[in-house]
Amino acid sequence: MAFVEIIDEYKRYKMGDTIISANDGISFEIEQGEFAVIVGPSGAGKSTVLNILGGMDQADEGKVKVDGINIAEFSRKQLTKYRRDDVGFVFQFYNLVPNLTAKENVELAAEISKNALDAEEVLRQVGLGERLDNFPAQLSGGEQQRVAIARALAKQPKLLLCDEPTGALDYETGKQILKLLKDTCENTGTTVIVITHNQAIAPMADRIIEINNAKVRKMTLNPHPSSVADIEW
Amino acid sequence: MKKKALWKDIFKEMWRSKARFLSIFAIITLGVAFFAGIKATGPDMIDTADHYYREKQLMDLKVVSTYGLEDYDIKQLESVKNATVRGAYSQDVILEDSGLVTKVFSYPENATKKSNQYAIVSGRMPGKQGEIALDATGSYKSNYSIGDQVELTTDDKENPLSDKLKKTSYKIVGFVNSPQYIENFTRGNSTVGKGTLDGFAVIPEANFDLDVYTEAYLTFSDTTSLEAYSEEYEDKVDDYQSEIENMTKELPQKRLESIQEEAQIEIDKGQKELDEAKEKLADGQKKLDEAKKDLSEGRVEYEDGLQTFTKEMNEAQAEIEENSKKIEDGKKELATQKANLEAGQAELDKGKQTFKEQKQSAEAELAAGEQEIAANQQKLDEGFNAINQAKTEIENGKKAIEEGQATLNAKSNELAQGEQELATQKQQLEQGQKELDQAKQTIENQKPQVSALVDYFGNLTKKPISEIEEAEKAEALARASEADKLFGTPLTQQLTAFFAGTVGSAEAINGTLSVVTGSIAEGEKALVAKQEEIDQGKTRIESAEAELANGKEAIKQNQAKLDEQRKRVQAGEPELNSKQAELNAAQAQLNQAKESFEQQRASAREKLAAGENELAANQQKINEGKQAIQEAEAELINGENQLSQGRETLKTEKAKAETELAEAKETLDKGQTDYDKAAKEFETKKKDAEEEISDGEADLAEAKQELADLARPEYFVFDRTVNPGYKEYSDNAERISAIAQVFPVFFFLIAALVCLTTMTRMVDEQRLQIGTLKALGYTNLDISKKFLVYASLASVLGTIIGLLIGYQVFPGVIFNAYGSLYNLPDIRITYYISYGLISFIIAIFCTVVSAYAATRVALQSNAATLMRPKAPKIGKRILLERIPFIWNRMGFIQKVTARNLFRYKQRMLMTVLGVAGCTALILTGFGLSDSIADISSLQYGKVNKYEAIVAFNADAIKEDKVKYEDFIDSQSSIKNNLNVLQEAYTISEKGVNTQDVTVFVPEDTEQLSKFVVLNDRKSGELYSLPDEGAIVTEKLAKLFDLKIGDTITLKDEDNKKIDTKVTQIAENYAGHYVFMTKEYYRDLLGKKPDYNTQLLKYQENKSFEDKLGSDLTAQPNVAAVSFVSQVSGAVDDTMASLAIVTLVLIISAGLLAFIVLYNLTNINVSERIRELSTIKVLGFYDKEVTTYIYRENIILTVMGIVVGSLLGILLHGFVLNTAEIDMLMFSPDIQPLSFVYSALLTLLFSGIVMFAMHIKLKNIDMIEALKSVD
Repeated sequence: MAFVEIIDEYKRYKMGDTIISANDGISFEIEQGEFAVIVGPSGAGKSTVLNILGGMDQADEGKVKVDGINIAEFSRKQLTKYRRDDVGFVFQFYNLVPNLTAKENVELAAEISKNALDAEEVLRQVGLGERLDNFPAQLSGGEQQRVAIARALAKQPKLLLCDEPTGALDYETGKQILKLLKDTCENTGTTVIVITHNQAIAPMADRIIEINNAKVRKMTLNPHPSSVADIEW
Repeated sequence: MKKKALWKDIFKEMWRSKARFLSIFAIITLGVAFFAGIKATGPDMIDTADHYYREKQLMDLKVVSTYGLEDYDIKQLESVKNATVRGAYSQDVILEDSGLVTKVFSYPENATKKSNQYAIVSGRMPGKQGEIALDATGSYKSNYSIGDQVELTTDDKENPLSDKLKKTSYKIVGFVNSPQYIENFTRGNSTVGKGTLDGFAVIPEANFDLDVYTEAYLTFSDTTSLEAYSEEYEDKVDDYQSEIENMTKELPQKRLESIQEEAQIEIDKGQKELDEAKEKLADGQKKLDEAKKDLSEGRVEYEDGLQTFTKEMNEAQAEIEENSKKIEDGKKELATQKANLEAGQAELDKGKQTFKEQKQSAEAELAAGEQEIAANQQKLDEGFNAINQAKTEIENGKKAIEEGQATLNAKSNELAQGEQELATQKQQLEQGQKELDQAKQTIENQKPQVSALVDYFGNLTKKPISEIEEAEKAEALARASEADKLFGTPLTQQLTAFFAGTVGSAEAINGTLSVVTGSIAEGEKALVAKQEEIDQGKTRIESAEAELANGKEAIKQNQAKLDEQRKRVQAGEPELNSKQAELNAAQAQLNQAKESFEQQRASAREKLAAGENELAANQQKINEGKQAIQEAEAELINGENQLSQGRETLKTEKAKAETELAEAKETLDKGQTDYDKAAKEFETKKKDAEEEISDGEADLAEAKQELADLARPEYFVFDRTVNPGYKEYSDNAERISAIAQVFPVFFFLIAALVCLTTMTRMVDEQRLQIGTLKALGYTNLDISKKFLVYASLASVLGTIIGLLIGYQVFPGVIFNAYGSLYNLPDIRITYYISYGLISFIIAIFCTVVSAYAATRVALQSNAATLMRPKAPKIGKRILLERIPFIWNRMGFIQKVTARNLFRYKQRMLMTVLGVAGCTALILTGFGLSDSIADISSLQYGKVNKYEAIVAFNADAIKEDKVKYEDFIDSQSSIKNNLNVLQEAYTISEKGVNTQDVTVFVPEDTEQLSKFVVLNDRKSGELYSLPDEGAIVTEKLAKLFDLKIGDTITLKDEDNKKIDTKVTQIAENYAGHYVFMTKEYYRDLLGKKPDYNTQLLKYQENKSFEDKLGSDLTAQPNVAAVSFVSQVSGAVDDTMASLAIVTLVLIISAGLLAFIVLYNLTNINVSERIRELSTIKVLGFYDKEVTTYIYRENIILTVMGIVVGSLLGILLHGFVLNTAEIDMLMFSPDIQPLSFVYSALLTLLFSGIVMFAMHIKLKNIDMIEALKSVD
């Protein structure tokens, strides 16, 4: 049984009189420790899948199994707990608390997590050992994203979910972030799921899930993912 | 250009952000309602009163004069332009029973000029004479009801009420309010009773009986259009007032002259009286002098009389003495003659004596002779008598002897006869004895026979017949016949029968035998009896025989005696005969002696008669001498009599003269005493009279002076402020307006802050859109239009609703709160355009200007900048981090909170200010409530320690006072009492309302502290009354800015001024008091304090108090009793109504607090929505998210509360200063509990807001928030 299993998942939004299906019978699975990329154009419904998988949203239908537990049936509180202990998020716009230093931003997550890592240590791991006491505004985009990743990693999540992590970054920085994520996956064995509209990123993944128009179009396993340095866009 | 899309966007925006729109609307509504409402309250109050005054035609001016007002005055007043004048009467009276001091007003019937009309509360106005309408305040309504009869009295004895009123008894027909007395509690001062009025009453004008009007009420046609209390009105009235004042300076010239004339007449009269009095005095003096002269003349006369009297008396005395001497001489001569005569007499008497003695002896000799003869004769006679007697005796003896012999013989015969008889009897007896012996013998013989017979026949009969042999039978028969013969028995017959076998014959035989036996026994018995009889007879005979022997012996003896007697008699007869002879011889001798004696006696008698004659002659001579002497004596006695008569006459005359003299003296003395007394009296009277005269002269001089002074007669022109409560009411209205200056400003300030932040936030949120619009080519105006319209719509709607609520709610609530203080009709609500406009402008300013300001800043940037997200606020190290000592000790969350707090400084300030403002308002509300509520408990618990005040009747007589004291002494529950003088004074100063002040003088200075605690409010230092100077109460000191050592000027009703120094300022809340010792009072006023009240202390319940109340009121000495429990109750009621005002404040402030907190929190949340979403995504529970943001809010709220409490104290102090009533001092302290309450209330609102936020935060769409770029 796969670590992440999404079976026949639907998510619909009401827009005035019409109902739009963001996810229309999505099914896929991801094995533990895999670096998965969900790829698709804007508005394909990939973010919705990520949100549901991350416990930020709930599916209307279907099963969402993480480590064998169907989180689609979770209550609000259970979802919060799930987010708190099992999931790490990395957003396109970092979403750091501007009033907190890099270290504090990491601590913000670490404070509430069951088996959190030391904030400074994690920051050092992501290469920000020198910028611990800097505020987000004093950091570059890549650095901010590193802080965000450190924040996500600090809680030792089962799943690391990244929504367009490179979307706001320049090419080089984007690559560095991707490398960080890939390294993290390899070094810590964390299952990493990256959402992107950028097809170019796909080759570095162990598993590529293509979503288009609210449906999974194609899922390919890549037995030999290319290294980050090799990919280009 | 229609820009339809833009407008659409504007309205859509409103709908989209309805919470924000509503919050702006609400804060504006609240601000406007509060501002306009409170602002309108004052004017509404004034307006209500103004309408009332206008409707009741309250006078504009009142004119009084010290001499009253005549028709002429009225006419003069009427000559003032626009003036309508009504002359009216009033009189202060005391209502009997209740003792209420009342001002009675006249009520014009059917008059066209009806100023100062009354508002009927119940019943009707008095229509005809004898009807009365009373003040509709509680004290009258509780004492009287319609239909009751009420008696009016006065304590002014010199001017009885009947001089002024036609009737003193009235029927109550109604209860009314007067526009002159809008306040419920004070009615002004009075000239009667306790000095303050309890209320007023109205009676028909015709019931007054006064020559002049006591007052004139003026209304002006051109003031009716002006609002009372307004400056225009006051200016106008001031003008009229000065005009009339000027006029009254000249007005009464004529009147004055007449008064002067009248007064002159009076003065002349007085002068005349004075002169007369002087004359009288002179007369008196003259009379006194005359009297003195008369007296001295009288004294001279008396002295003369006394001299004459003495002289005459002496002469008379001398004459009498002379005569007396003559008589004495005569008496002496007479005594000599008398002595001679007496000597003669004595000689004569001696002669007489001698003669008498001779005569006596002669007589005695003669008598002796005679006696001797008589004695001899007697002896003879005795002898004869004895002889005769003896003869008789002898004869008698003889006779007796003969008789004795005869008797003796008879007895002898008798004796013989008895002897014979006795012999016969003896013979018979012997015969009887013989017979008896024979009978005895017979019986003795028969006895054995019979027993044999019995035995025989007994045996025989026992035997059966058959056994009896014939022999036997025959023998038996023989025997039977023998027996039959012997005893006469039928035995034979019976035996025969027996033998014949006749049944029962045996028994018959036995019966017969027993009979025989019985008869034998009987016979024996009879024999014994006979023997006895015979024996007796024998004894009898023996005694008779003895008797007979005795008789014989006696006779023998008697015979012997008799014989002896006979012998003696026979011997006596010869002796007797010899004696007879002797006697006869003696008789003869005696007869001879008698004859010689007769001769001797005759001669002696002759001699004696001659001596007697001689003596008589001598006696004659002496008697003649005696006669002469007697005559002389008579003469002498006569002389003496005359003398004594003369003496007597002298004595009487003397006595009379003396009496006369004494009387004269007495009269003289009395005259002297009278004179002295009169003189003395005259002296005193003269002194008095002189004093009086001088007084009179002084009075006259004074009167003359007064007359001279009368050049400016006293006319007083009062405006409406003379009505108690009139000014105070406007003060109260102004106070509300003053509150309206502070509170609503505060409100608006906070509202503006809220609007500013809200609009700024809105603009920030709309940044992107602004940029877009700008990029699209919309002008700045078009772009800002959205915000301006948004803001102005919210504020306009808010203003309109706020005005509606404000005008309608606040004046009504506050006016009703004052309702218990004033008797006014319902409030008139006016929608003031001015306040509406002000509200509108401020509201627009708050919202639109802030919106404009916010957009302007945004619009200054170019479209490109705007299209980019606003650079997020840079995180900064805060000051606290530089203090590692603290920072390192803080937890992570604390650090985050601290950093957040300082990151949003503006909002922090806003929140703190907003919360502080609300807390301050709530605290002020509670504080006002405290200050007001504390008055009663402080005044009647802390300051005043007594339970009741008794007001005394000013004219109480001594007995009543004693009675009252006895009553108080009898009440064991009353622990203590203190007499106190309480006098009404006023203090006035420019720029300060004239204040009524009570001068408080305890009789016992030491006791005061038990009844009234004088201390410093802050330090609690106790004050005792100073020897000099006075202690004044705090509020009074505050009003007049008095400090220790200052001098205050007290004015009494007659405008007499008293200056006293302030030595201490004491805590007090209700009324103004000036405390001083009685000594100081006396020094100050030059009179002893007349203690007109008494304070009582006891610890009892309500029922005791009721009883005490009625008992005390029944005391003639007691004018009124008031209990602290009632007073404090009344104050409590008043204060409770005022508390409504504070409640309004609290509620408004609370609402404001809620809106402010909600708004600020809302902004905070929306500003930080991204951050909140992030932490949500990070797995913060809902509670943790709310806490995350609310931790800051709570800290800000607490800071706000602290700041607000400080602000509240200031605000409370300010409001107290402006809202305080002159007569009351609100306790300036806020109770600690009020701080707690206001803090808790603020926290409560904060909590409610938190709850609302919690819901909101829970529903944050974190995905949406995180997706967007801001």
